[in-house]
Amino acid sequence: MENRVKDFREEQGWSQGELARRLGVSRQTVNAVETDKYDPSLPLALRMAKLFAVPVTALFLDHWEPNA
Amino acid sequence: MTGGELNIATIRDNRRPGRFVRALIGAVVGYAGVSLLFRVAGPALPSPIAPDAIVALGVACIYLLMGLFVGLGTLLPKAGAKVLNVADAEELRDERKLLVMSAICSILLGVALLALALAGAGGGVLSPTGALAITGGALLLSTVAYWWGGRGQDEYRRLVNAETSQVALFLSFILFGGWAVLAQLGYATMFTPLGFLSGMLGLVLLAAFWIIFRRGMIVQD
Repeated sequence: MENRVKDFREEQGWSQGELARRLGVSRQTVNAVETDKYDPSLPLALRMAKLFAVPVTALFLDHWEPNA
Repeated sequence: MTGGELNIATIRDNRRPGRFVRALIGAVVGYAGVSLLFRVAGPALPSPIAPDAIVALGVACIYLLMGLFVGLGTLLPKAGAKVLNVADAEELRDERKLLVMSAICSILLGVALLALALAGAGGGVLSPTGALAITGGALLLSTVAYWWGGRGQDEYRRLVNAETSQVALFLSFILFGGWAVLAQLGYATMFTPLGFLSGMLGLVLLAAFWIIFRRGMIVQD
């Protein structure tokens, strides 16, 4: 899923390792999320949103629209 | 340390050998390791060496070398970062516990398979009791090591492990299931227990590499 995790991370001046430490996950996980190779679980997505103080929908972009 | 510099997929360390050179080093070390193992263990095996014992020695060697490289690379992160599939030494330090656990389990699996190969089908250099003790001990120790180092795996690593297990199971079903079908119908000789064990461990490695490749976890140069 398209996401803006890298953008928010760089705004904070954090490395992937630093973000990983703050979230309690591995750097590989952060990299996989940022490169769209892995969609995080709901708890992790919520933690990311809380860490960056933004809504989840600002971090993860979903273009799906319901059928009318 | 700024945010953009440590993207695992894009970092380039000019002091790190290129991917081709690293693969070549790995191939040379692997060949040397297998040759050495055959030179040391070969005379202890019944002659002629059975095909399943050859496979077992080869797979055992891969696990032993893998464990040694990962273990030493983790304990010496600056050197390890040049040859292991990591972005830099910091990643080795961050993942130290998990990597040490992984190295211990790899070595123990290699030792167990080696012991079984040396014990042979009808008894070899190693007695069946001795091989059973070594194999049982190795499994017990690797379980303890996994409990110590593997509990803190995060969700992504758990997913990668689950996918690896799934692919390994599928490959095992295809290979050994198909082989059993052919053996049942008289088209092939049934595989031996040692061949089965070696094959399973080999397929786990194959599955792991496939998943790592498919998920783009190979560090780019």
